[in-house]
Amino acid sequence: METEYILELQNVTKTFGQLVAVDDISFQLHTGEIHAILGENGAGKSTLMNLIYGLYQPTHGQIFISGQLKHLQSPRDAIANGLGMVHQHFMLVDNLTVAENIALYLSHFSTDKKNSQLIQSEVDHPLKFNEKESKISSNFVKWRFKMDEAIQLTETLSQKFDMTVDPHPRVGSLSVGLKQRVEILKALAVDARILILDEPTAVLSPQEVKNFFQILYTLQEDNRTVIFISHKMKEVLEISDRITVLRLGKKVYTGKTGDLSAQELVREMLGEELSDIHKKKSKVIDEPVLRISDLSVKGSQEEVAVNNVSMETYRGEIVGVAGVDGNGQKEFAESIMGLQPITAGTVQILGKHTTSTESIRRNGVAYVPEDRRTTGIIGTFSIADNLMLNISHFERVARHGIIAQNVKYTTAENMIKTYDIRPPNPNLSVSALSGGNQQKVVIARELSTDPELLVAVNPTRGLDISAAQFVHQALLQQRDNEKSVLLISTELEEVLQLSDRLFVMSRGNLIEATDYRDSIEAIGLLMMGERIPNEL
Amino acid sequence: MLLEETLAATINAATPLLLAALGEVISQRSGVINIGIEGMMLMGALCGMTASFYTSGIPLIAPWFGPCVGMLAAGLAGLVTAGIFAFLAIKLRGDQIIIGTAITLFALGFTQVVYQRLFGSTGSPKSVPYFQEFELPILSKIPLIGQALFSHNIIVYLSMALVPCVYFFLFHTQPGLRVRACGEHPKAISTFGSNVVKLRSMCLLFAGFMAGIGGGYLSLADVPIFTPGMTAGRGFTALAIVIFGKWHPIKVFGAALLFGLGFALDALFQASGWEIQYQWFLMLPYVLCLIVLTASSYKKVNFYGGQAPLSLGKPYNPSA
Repeated sequence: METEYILELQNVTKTFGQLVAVDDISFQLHTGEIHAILGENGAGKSTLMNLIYGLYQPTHGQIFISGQLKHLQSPRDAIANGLGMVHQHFMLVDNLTVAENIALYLSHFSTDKKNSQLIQSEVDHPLKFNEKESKISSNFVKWRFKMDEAIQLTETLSQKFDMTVDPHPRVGSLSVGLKQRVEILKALAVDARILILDEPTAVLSPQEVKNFFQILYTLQEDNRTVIFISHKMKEVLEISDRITVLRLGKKVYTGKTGDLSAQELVREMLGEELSDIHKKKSKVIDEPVLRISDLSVKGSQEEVAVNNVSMETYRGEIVGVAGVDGNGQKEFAESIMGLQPITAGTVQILGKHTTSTESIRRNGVAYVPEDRRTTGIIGTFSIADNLMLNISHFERVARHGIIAQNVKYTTAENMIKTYDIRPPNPNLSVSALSGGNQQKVVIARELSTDPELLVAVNPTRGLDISAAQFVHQALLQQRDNEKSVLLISTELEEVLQLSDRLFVMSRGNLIEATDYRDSIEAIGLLMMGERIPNEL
Repeated sequence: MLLEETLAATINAATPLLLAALGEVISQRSGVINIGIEGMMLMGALCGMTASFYTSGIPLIAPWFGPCVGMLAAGLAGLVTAGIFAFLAIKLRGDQIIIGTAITLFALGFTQVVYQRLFGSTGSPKSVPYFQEFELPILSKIPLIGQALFSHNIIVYLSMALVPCVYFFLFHTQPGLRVRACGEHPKAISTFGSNVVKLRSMCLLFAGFMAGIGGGYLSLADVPIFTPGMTAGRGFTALAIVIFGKWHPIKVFGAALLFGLGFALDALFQASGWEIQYQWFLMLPYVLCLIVLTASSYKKVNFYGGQAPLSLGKPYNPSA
């Protein structure tokens, strides 16, 4: 039977014990389309992709590739059948060069015609421009590893697909955007016809996203099919041809991009209308809470991470700091919290110079750190124990340093109720919670001290829409209580939406950008450390 | 004269260290920190000497036959010991440090018991046929360094020949590329279809074989006897050599020579008849080890680059 679908799932179900992760999903992929998959965390997106990629096998149902029934037992099978996946956590070896990474991947898959399914039924192998090139690629399954051939192959591929990638540097030294290109090149080296991209734009700046979309169009022109998984509604609407929405393991919608508005798609994802964040006009009170003057901080490699930064935050406002990861945000936040030594300049809180983290916290500063798993919580501790980790809570539940268990539990139970932490069991270890509930534990602990200043770094990273909204409400509440919030985030939309004043951090410099908040392009330029041309 | 003697003694002392360290480079590059080298060397030393002792009694065979069989037995003893390590640490994903330590402690006791059962606890240690030194034609006639460099037993030359071989394997072959990737990001190559457990086990078995041969060198070439605990920290020194040599075969060769010098000076000073308690000289290689490792961990001293594989010592769980 002839079919136009390059990939088709028929009534695929995957259960883990009692849990039905993917529930009777049927799904078709047209050759050459960019197909977006939308869904909350836990909607079954990852499980579905892992089924297609051979990491899991379906409990029921069938998977067809190019009209043929396939039983994919491993990613290796899937790759041999023309799939490629760019994981959110890259499968790249940082200490090898770009060319070595590509060679390593290629060496696992024979491109020799006789014993490979790779080229069967496919139009044109990208490595078959001429005899010589094809010989090179089949050499990679042999014993010898030739660096110059690996370099040549990388160059050929990056030229063919119009991606500038230098084969020589170590992958670890590349930017995230370039690493992503290497991942895509890797998949193309074995002629992947279907590329699965898992949250590919989460780590990119607006300019990088633009370049990335260009790459997707090039792939599309080459008649390759792309599955694009994302949270970001705007990007999905911009790039995709069709959209599928998953909710609680079920497919709830598939349709052409543009048929439904963003609002309607969100409703499909959540199954309910999402109340818009009601943002009252802020009443900024002319009293600085945090005053930073001429602050400079050195990073871990002795480089200048924060360069001569001055700013203030006032009561009743949220000050946003946007920027691409790794431009000094971490060092900036940590120096405010007294966790990093300051090279020059001063940090004052409510007019006081403070130095140690303890005195900073005692002066009413709360902190939601960047990485909740490594610094926000202790995974093996219970919810109750995590909630009393900071000094003021500890002092409340402890008498002469001995913890009063009953006070600990009543305090914890109150906080669990107020912040809606689920499941509401104070004895449960935090690592058993979902990311959203882990973050609620952090927010509960930090905000229940009623701080004067809240420093929040990427507070919604990895959270789904409803959990992110909870965090946003908490930040706004803090502002409405006439406290001060410093929000440092790589999610540009979040910063634009919440902040009363806006800064951009780029290569350690802090630039006020409140006037440009309506121009993504201008802010994008600032994020890349460029000047803004006059016409913007 | 003194220079010549020192040089020759250095090379002699460096050989077992180099053999064990080359194996360890491969093992650590694949992500397994084999801290049981000391134990594997001891097993090698005992089995090598025993095999040579029993096979050399047979009449009408060439005198080199015993030591060769011994060396092979030494390697196999190390390999089998490494097999236990591989099963516990790679297959069952136990803690590599604890298992390695256990293996070393086990080997210390085991070799002593077996040696006493076979050769008795009293009397002088049994002497066995061993590898004879021979002079390489022409080269050994070079003035000054000829005798020092080119008048050794066959194992010395073989171990040096192995240095470029290991280098070529790691950096110019497909399996070498996989071994390097395996120590950095095992999950990646696992999703490409490599079997991480198998790859790491192979590397560890090689390390065990090499450690066994290193031990065999001690009882079949250095001094043709076995004494319990005769490795005297050389296994741990090989571990230090790998770290100081930045997981690179050529640099490891240099590091092995430096530590070999430590052991050589120890022996030379003891023989020099100086009026100093000999324990001071015994300390020498280990003090050198401390100083070198401390210094090389400072950025300013570590000018020659290289860093530990990212997943070194981390058990790999394929289903996680």
